[in-house]
Amino acid sequence: MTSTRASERSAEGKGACRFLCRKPGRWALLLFGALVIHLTSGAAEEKKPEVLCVVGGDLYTITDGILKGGTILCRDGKIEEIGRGVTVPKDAKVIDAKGKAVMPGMVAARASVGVFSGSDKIAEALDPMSLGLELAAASGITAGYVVSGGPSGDNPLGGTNAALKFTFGALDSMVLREPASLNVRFGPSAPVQSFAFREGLRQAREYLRKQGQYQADQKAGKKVPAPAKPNGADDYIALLTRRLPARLQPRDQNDILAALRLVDDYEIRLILDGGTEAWPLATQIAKRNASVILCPRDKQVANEFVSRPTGSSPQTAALLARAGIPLALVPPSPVFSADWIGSDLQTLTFSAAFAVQGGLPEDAALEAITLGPARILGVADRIGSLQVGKDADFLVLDGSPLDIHTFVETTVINGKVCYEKNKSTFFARVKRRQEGAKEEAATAPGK
Amino acid sequence: MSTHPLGALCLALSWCCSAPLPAVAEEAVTAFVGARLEPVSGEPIPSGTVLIEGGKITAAGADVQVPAGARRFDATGKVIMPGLVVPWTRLGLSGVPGGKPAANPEVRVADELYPFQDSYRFALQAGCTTLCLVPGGEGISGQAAVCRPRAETGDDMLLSWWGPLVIDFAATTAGKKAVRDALEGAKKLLRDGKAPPGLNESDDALCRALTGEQRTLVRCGGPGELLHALPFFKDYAEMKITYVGPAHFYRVAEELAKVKAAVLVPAALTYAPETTNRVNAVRELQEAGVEVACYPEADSVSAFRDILLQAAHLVRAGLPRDAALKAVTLGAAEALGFDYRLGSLEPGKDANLLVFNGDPLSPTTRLERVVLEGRTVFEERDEGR
Repeated sequence: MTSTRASERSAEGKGACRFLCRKPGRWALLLFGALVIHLTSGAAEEKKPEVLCVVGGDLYTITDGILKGGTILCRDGKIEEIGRGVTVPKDAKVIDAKGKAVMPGMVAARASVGVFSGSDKIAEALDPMSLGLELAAASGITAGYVVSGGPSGDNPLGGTNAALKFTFGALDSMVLREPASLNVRFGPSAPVQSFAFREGLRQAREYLRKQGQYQADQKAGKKVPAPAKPNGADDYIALLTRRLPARLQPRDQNDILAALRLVDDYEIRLILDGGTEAWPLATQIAKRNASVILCPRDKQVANEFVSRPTGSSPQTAALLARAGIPLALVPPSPVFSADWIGSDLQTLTFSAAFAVQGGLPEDAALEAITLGPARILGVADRIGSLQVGKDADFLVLDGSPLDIHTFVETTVINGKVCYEKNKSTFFARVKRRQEGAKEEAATAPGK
Repeated sequence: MSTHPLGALCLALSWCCSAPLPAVAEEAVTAFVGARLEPVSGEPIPSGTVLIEGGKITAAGADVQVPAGARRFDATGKVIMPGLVVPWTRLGLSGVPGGKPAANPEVRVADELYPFQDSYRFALQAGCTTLCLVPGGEGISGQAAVCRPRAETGDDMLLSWWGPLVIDFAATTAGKKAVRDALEGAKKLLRDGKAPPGLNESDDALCRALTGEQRTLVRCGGPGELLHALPFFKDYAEMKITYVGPAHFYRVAEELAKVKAAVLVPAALTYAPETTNRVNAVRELQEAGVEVACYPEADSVSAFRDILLQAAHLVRAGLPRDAALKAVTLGAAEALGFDYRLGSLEPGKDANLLVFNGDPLSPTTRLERVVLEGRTVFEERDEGR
């Protein structure tokens, strides 16, 4: 938490400079601000940027393969250096990761974690002290796609969603991006909403066209009235200008096909949240640059009344990835709950392993629980891989990432250790036994 | 469809039944050669052969000679284990009757079986080659049906006419009275020298349970109810009882160990009460010396498909590997009294086999073939990959 505050302070500092350059008369305010910071910051050494080094681990970088025996140096919550020859500064906090795996914090593309319900804006309903955030850290999930509400009644749009960082106890660092997309209800199963949505897009496009004409006219010196913006057009404009993607939850292939037609007509960006039946449509989805959020453990019975292939397939993830579709894999449930034990968010890696069962290469499976969802959320510049300049969010694991026996030993978010297995009670009672460990090593898959 | 590049995949995933089964004479010997065997009854065999004849396993081991003329499957690199035994489920049955506790030992689940259900097909595809379908209702619920999940008629689903007696034990005056009255009545019949067969259906079932000829499954809602049930059934010492209930049974593991009871709990980790601290109930029961096996945590297709994943989850949380495999095969068969023909790769047992492309306890492994009584009933081919 200290480092989080430090980084915010430095950001504040930069802002203050700009603020002063423009209006030098505000010196008094700055002095007052400096005094407040001084009073709240405590000891002088706390101001030094915090340095954390993770030394000697096998680094699953996601973007550059596996770097064996590498070191990560983090300063001020960011990754500053990665490599084998990194010099560890004297004042650095060191985590020894020799013989362990280090991977970026996982990103859950469906997560109901860390938010109080019933708010129009997620940023105003964050619950930084929720147990879910602690369990997320213990499960190696450091960020997620959180949806609040959704389209209700006849509305095609509604609710909100956000890319959240799961920083326990730190309200200010939680929101990465809100909204990350627009929740849309569309498809043959929702004809009223579908009509309203198409109509909204049509009107907004018409408005944009008139607006363009208006600007051109003004440039040419013509005096013409500005076009009236239709009510509620802002969301549709965000979609048409591709500032935000539409997030749809297709129930079956018909919904997916309808969504793809929509992309053809309006060139919007599309996130298909649910792609159990998407495998026969892989090339068509790829052509529209749509991304897919998929639970490979979901099962759907084939529709016996149509001649085209339907139903779920264990190979869906593999086929979608091979077609080049940005992919995020999720477990069956988006919560941490005793009712969903074995299917809840703690099983995110199991979902990735299931996709491997269906032919997805292991590195692609790992990407689909880290950088893949980060890209879909539009936050890949900050999280999702071990790269210099990215947020220092990563995990130290006691085995390879997709091995079911592997546990998270340490979770680091923003360069700060926020979970240590040996200091937590969550798994204290289910420790691996010595003789069991030996046997597991001998029979581990693919070794 | 065959012109579609993915058509072959679709076919590969389809039910083998829809295509004619390869013509194999019933008498022919089938051999799976070169697989790693997980017999469950003994140590794994790195490379072995399983022989099948007439729906039964005739040999399984490293030094098995394949007879001339046998239908031979090269299973090099594969792992073969016995089919999963689901010892407690109501998959495909309609709702449980409500009402006051009552004694209905004559009720047979066998009478309400409907074999043509998608859920049975999916159970088989998930490797569940035996299902014990249980009656519901507080008191003496009736007789369970131990079934193969694939048959033409309800009767053909049954492995035997008799199934375990099921008691849904309620820690209430009425609940205890209903069970006690029925058992005491049957006890008196036995004292008077009467014995099945030849009594009426109710008394037959009760007497067979009382003498231990038939297993009794006693379901308890929690560890508290279990502490009522244990002294209650002390009066019926010859009964062979398997206690069925939630994972929190682990909290009375020592009491269960004392009476040497067999126990069925869900195949899943649980939380310690009022916390989010994980507990491996199966491991804790097993370490206390209780014979423990597992049933799927829900009567849903997905829970059936997750049985092995959950078993792997239990191993991750410290349960020995062999114990986890036993809990979903031989242990479950023992809990039903059907270990004489189910649950392991041993000569004489039903030829229910699962063929995997790797470790059955890893989510990256695929179940490639399900063999039910010698016949391949599910096969995933590699087309379309």
